[in-house]
Amino acid sequence: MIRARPPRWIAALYRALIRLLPEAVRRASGPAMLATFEERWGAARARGLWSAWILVATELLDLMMTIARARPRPEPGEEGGNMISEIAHELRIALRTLMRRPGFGVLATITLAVGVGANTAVFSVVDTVVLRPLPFPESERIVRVWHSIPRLGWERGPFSYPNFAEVRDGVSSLGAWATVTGDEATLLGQGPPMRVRGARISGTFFPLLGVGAELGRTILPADAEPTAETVAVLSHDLWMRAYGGDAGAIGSPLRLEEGPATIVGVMPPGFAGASTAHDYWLPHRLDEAGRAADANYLQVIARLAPGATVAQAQAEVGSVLSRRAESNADDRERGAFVETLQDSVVGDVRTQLYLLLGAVALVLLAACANVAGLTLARTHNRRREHAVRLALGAGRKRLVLHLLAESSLVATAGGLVGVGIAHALVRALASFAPSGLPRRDELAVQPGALVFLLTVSVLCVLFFGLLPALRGADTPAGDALRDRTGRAGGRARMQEALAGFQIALALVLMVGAGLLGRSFARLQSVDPGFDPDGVLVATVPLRFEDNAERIAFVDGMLGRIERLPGVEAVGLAWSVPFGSAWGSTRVVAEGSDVPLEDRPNTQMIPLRGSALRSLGLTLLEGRADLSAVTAADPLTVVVNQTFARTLWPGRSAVGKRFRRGTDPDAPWTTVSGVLADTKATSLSEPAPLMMYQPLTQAGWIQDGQLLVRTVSGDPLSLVEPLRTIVAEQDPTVPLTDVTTLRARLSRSVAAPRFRAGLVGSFAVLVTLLSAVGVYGVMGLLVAGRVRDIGVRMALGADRTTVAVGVLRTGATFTVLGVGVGLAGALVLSGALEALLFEVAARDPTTYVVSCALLVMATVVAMLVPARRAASVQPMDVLRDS
Amino acid sequence: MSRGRPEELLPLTPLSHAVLLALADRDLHGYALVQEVARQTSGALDPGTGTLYTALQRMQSDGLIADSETLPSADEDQRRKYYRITAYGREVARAEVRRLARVLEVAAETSLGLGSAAEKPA
Repeated sequence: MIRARPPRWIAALYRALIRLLPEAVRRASGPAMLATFEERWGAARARGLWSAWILVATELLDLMMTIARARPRPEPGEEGGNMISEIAHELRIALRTLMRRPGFGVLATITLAVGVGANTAVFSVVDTVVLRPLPFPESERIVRVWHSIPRLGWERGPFSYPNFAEVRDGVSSLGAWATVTGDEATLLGQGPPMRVRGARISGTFFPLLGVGAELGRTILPADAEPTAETVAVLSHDLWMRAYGGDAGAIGSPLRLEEGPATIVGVMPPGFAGASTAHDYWLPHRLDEAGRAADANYLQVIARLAPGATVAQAQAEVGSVLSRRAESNADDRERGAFVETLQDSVVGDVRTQLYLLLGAVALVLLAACANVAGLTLARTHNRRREHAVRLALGAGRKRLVLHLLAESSLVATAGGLVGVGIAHALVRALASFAPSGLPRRDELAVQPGALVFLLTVSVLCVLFFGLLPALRGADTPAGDALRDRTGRAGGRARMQEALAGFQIALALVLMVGAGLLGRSFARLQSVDPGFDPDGVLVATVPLRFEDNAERIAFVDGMLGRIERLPGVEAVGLAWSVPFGSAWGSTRVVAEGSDVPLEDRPNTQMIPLRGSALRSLGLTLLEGRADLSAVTAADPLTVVVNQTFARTLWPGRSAVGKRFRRGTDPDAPWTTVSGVLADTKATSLSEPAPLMMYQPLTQAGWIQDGQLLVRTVSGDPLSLVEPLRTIVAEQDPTVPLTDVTTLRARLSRSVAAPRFRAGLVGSFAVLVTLLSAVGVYGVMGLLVAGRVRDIGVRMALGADRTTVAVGVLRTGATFTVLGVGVGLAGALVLSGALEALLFEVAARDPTTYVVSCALLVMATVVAMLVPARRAASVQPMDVLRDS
Repeated sequence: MSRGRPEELLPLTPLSHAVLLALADRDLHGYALVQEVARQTSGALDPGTGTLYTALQRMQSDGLIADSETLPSADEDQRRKYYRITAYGREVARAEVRRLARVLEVAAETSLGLGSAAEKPA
């Protein structure tokens, strides 16, 4: 049986530790030990991941104990040892010292590991998603060109072909141009029908990006000629999925429902398009009519001409468009927006990632402060040990070497565990991050980030480990030995400052987490207006020439689904709340003289069957049932409350008429009922105007969302029967994007949830760290004052007074820390403003609760040292001195 | 290497004794020893790899065990190292078994003995 092997870094760590064993053991059994360790790992791994990690922990501990117990070798000087063996010797002794009282080593290692691990992970994500250039040659010169029409609320809109052609021919700061139009199709003939997303591209697309095919060729300008044979290029992913990676796919037809195309190439893995992920590319061929059409649908990318800047390009494109607008009355106030392709891919994710990076940097600061505090406390506690060593003739160099060895051991262990944490976190980030995270497939730990952060932490440990030791080495040994009260002095103040600093950091993170958490809770408590539970949603393509055929297909399908056991209601709608499709038109109430550009836009939602009942919408007035409306009847719709209020404020909308679109002679539409509002795309935004129309009067839809409300249980258990019904109805029609309405809804709050969760865990982490820091500094203070306390008690002070006295000392740095933290939080929370929903960045509740929680944690951390102070036995102390 | 009387090494540590018992009738490699020791003691003794090899090293220098002539077969991990018990190891293990038998005898004369009243369920 083939057993799993441990990750390479764990084996390396184990091997490195073996080197610290006495030479006899290492020589004779080193490789055998590693083999045994790996075999045990394999066996434990077969029992589960947890078993494996527990084994690693116990094995490493066992090995370290073994090293610590091993008889030390003679001093290197005596056997003429070289530097390597001297260092190995020093490391061995350091390990033994650390293992003797493992508290410090374990705490410092964990703290460093968490700080370095979390930072490496977040930095790796930021680097991959935001900083690293897109995988195209000179990708920073590739730009996205948008057509802005403020009247329609477009900052980033598509181009019509005539507009594009004019801009292409009239702008000199952009060299190469290409257009992309999203496309969706059903792939037939490769197993069950498969819904795939692709693009129609100009022949210049691949040459502009500068990418070549992995197999065959890409699409070239000649392929876009109207007379050329239709060719297609596949993504590596689709090639694997549909053709199993068979090179014979080249030259074979790609069967899409619109007609076949010949596959001429496969793109390399990792390439999925310029900005949106596509599975196939077809040449976009335009005949004369297509070139003349005024529809805005072309996405445009371009390459900056040598020497040109994004700003120049934007100005030039803008002036061409507005010149065009002057000659065309309908084209008022047009402009351009140009951004680098990278910016357009990253979008507003950048802000969010920088927020995380900021939060995680606070974690690293806190971790460093914590380790610094621990190191200070430890160095202080060992002052006498060092003094004794110096007094006994140990050189200063030896002492420094010893501390260096200890620090490097802690830093190395922290770094190694940190790598593990970073790997786990990056994997977690990639799978939990909202699906909108660009380039998530490329996510991996960046070794550079790891090395950098590890260096920072090592320097931090060395600085705080060495500085006091060096100062201590300067102290005459006699002083240190006599100083039995162990007055802490400057070092204690330093430690108090570090503890206060950690409290401040913790407070900043707590406030941030509190604000994001409250905002998320507010968002969660918003009523979406529909009942999202127990509803299955799936996309069904409806590519029919004739609407009667489409309706026959839909009715046949709905009728059979309705008879499935457990189905309460079933319907089909063109779009569902929190879905991706939407279409809109302008509306004006009968008798109103609102000018065209001020008329409101409404979403149009054609539906069939019991779609409204499946969604669980509430009827406010009138009739909601549109099933009897035929194509020949007068146009009839059901509208939402916002629609009714906007067109007929203060009056009933039922029976009222309105006109859609821009045509002044368009037929009237009558409102038959009014439904309660539902959120459409985001819980944080008000409901738009919505209009539900019968499918019989909306023959233009190309696909629909199947909505199945179940009586109870998991709606997804219906998937297989549904697939069967759809396939039997028409074997070329696939059922895709199967999910639940609840999942759609919760996906819309994935980003806020992710933010609040991540910042929240950072806050908890840093609070724990600061509690440890406070505990450390207070413990040291109490230890240093045992004699004072004993004397005071002997003179009559009671235990409460003593405990309160200790707490009061802690109160000073706690108050200072909270003060600095509050100031920091007030300044920094401004950055969160844009991400908050119904919570002010200076929300008093959040600040008060955060302070209270933090002070509580601090007090708890102080209680143990305070109790220790209160339990000092005066007689013991007096006897001792 | 001069060998003392087997009794001088007694009592053996539980791990050393378990290793000698495991090697009594066949040569084993490190991982098999870990498994065998755990089996013998129903999991009560589960030595870490570091502990085990340090013990093996000590037992080897005490002359109780030695490297075995058995080499890992072709389909095995070539880093595996087999151990065998030495004649002296056998003597020491027997001495330990005799010592333990004596312990049992003594215990049987007291209320701590196996099968005594204290051992029976109430």
